[in-house]
Amino acid sequence: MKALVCVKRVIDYNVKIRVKSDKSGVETDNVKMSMNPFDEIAVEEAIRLKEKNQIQEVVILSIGTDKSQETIRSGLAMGGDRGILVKTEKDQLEPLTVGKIIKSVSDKEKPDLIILGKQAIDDDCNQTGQIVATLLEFPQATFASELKKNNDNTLEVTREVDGGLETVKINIPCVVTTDLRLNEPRYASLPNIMKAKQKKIDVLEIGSFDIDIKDRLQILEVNEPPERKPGIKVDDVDSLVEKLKNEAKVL
Amino acid sequence: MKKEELTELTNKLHPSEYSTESDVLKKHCIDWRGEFIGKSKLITFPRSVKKISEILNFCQKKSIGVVPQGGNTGLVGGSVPTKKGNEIIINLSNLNKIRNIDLIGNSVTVEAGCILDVIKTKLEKYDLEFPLSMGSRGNCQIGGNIATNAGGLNVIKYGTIRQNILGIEAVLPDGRIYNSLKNVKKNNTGFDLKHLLIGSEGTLGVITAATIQLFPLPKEKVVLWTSFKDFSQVLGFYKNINNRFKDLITSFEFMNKESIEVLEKHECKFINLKKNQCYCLVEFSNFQKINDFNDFIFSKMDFKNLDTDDLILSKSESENKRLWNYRESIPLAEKKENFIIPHDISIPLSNISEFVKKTTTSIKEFSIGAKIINFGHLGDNNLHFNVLIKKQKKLSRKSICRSVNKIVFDNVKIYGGAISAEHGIGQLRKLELKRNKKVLELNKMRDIKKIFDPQNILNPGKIF
Ligand SMILES: Cc1cc2nc3c(=O)[nH]c(=O)nc-3n(C[C@H](O)[C@H](O)[C@H](O)COP(=O)(O)OP(=O)(O)OC[C@H]3O[C@@H](n4cnc5c(N)ncnc54)[C@H](O)[C@@H]3O)c2cc1C
Repeated sequence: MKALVCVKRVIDYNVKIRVKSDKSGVETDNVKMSMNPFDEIAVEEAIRLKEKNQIQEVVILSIGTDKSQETIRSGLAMGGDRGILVKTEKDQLEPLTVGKIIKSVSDKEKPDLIILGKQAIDDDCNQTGQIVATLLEFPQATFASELKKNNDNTLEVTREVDGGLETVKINIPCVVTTDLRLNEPRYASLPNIMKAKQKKIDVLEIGSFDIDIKDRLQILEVNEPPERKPGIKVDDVDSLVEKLKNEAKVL
Repeated sequence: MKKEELTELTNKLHPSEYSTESDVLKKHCIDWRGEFIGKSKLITFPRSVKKISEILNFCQKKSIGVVPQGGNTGLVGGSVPTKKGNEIIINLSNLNKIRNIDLIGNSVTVEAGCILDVIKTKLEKYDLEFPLSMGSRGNCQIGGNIATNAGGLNVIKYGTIRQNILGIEAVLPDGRIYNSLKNVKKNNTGFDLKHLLIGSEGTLGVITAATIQLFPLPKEKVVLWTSFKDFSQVLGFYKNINNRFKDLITSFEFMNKESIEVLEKHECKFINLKKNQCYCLVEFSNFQKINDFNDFIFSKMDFKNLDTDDLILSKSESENKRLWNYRESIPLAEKKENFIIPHDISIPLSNISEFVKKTTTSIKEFSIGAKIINFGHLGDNNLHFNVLIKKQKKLSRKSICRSVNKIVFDNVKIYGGAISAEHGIGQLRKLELKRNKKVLELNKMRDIKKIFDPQNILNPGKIF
């Protein structure tokens, strides 16, 4: 069995985002970049399946500029076997474009499991996994918090849904998108970083795919969230009630 | 303090600038560890330097003791009144404005009551690093940091706060305002009095503002975590890493097995990491905007001579946070133990291995089952050597403390260290200071105290 794990290079989750002065987007210069945390969970899950001998090969795919090789490399240091970079000029492509590229790679690679984050923390689209499943006509299990492979070529996936958990059984090949509670990704140890250096990353130019990568959406303006006003202290309960009634108008 | 005096003093203040309520007082009379519980009839929260000046002027005339208090995170009982109950508290939290940020000279002038973390976060917006960080940063104040000459997690890169202070404003015990808030690095105009106020633990003046040197904010940080079977390997590792990466290292922290045990018992589980005898956390900062910083560090490693059991390199800021959380939660975990005797010492690195071995053996002979929790800013020779007493003999807590302290501090002396590396003297280390400081030095310190504070009203019962 083979797993294709899709990973995206994004602004590090813990970095404070700054909007560019012309409001055309967010500042990415001189900012720490890391693997999208949900994708990291996907890498970890694939490697765990490999360690259980349920998967033979873990292929890490990223679509982006040359710098996305760093992101692939960090997946290889966790234990992925080889990488594929689909090289583009810009970092941000729309989910449909990304979905088509993944489909095209998948047609060649023929993975049994495509596993990726439920969303990327930069544009928060939550679409790619679903689009890939649709284009490939694969069954899908989104928002996975637990995953088990059965002997009859099916996966049992627990999904985090509103108000509870749902367990589904799907046939392989399939698409799984990961949620936060699925696992705690491992660290990259130095010996493994060293091994990762020897692993192969195939670089494919986006031009070699017959896919229109033009954006369909236009971003008009990006704004910072309004700054929260500092709290105030009131002297007693009466003045609190008074303020809630007359100023905040919530009572 | 007489009733009339209290009324006279509070009449000078706005109602929001003081409290005599027992709930409020109680909270401010107990130190972070809960070891020192003092008494007081009045706490003030002045809103201006002028008010502080008036309070001190009044207190000096009436010979009333005054305790300056910042975030009250001090670990030696310096920030709370004594049990005598005749001191008032000046709490600085209302004096919390940023007066100026100099974006050309990279410096900031802040009032003493500013909370460290608030200032750090504000300055990040300007791509500037405030050169101090420590576990208490969410509560401690710049004034308290200066009064204790705080060290913390980045001393290996930026030094203690003393190295970065350009000027200070303080109110002296008679109410006069000393001001050296000059935004210049060089100033050889006679004795530099601000250096006496730095580390004076509230005994010479109430610090009200300071100008502090800032540094460029690194683009990113990467944490290296590693573990060892034996402490002696740690020093070899330190030398190796320090030689290779000197300018990029912003922290070098050490933890022993017992630190992680107490952490796991009270605070959090240790996940995806190998258990071992000792651990190191090294933080590298990317000041030069190096591309692919992880790879840069990796390529510079001297693998041949690295004698460790395992090594990991963080791949995101979330991992940095998780790894730092292990180190920073150790003091919180310790606090939940019933009987810990803390020591914040520094020992020359060349002697540290021998010191730990000898002292640990002696303590375990004295108190069977005792555990030694060792952690700290090893890169600055600083070791927290905290003794967890398991079974109490028939001896009282006090006498156990005395014996354990004697073992530790006798060895500190033998191995050429200092009895307090960064926490200071306060009430906790008065006796040891007398024992360990040379008479000449102690006498000169007393002389200086007399010149600043002839009536001994500022933080009485502390240091001396
Ligand atoms: C979890 C934890 C981790 C810590 N880690 C470190 C560490 O890594 N490195 C380190 O050095 N310390 C550390 N500390 C100790 C403590 O946080 C520092 O000593 C800190 O600098 C004290 O600041 P504060 O505002 O809380 O001062 P306080 O505790 O309020 O006061 C400390 C002393 O300074 C005096 N003082 C306070 N403000 C003023 C002022 N404006 N003018 C004159 N005197 C004043 C007080 O009288 C007292 O003597 C730690 C403490 C905790 C609880």
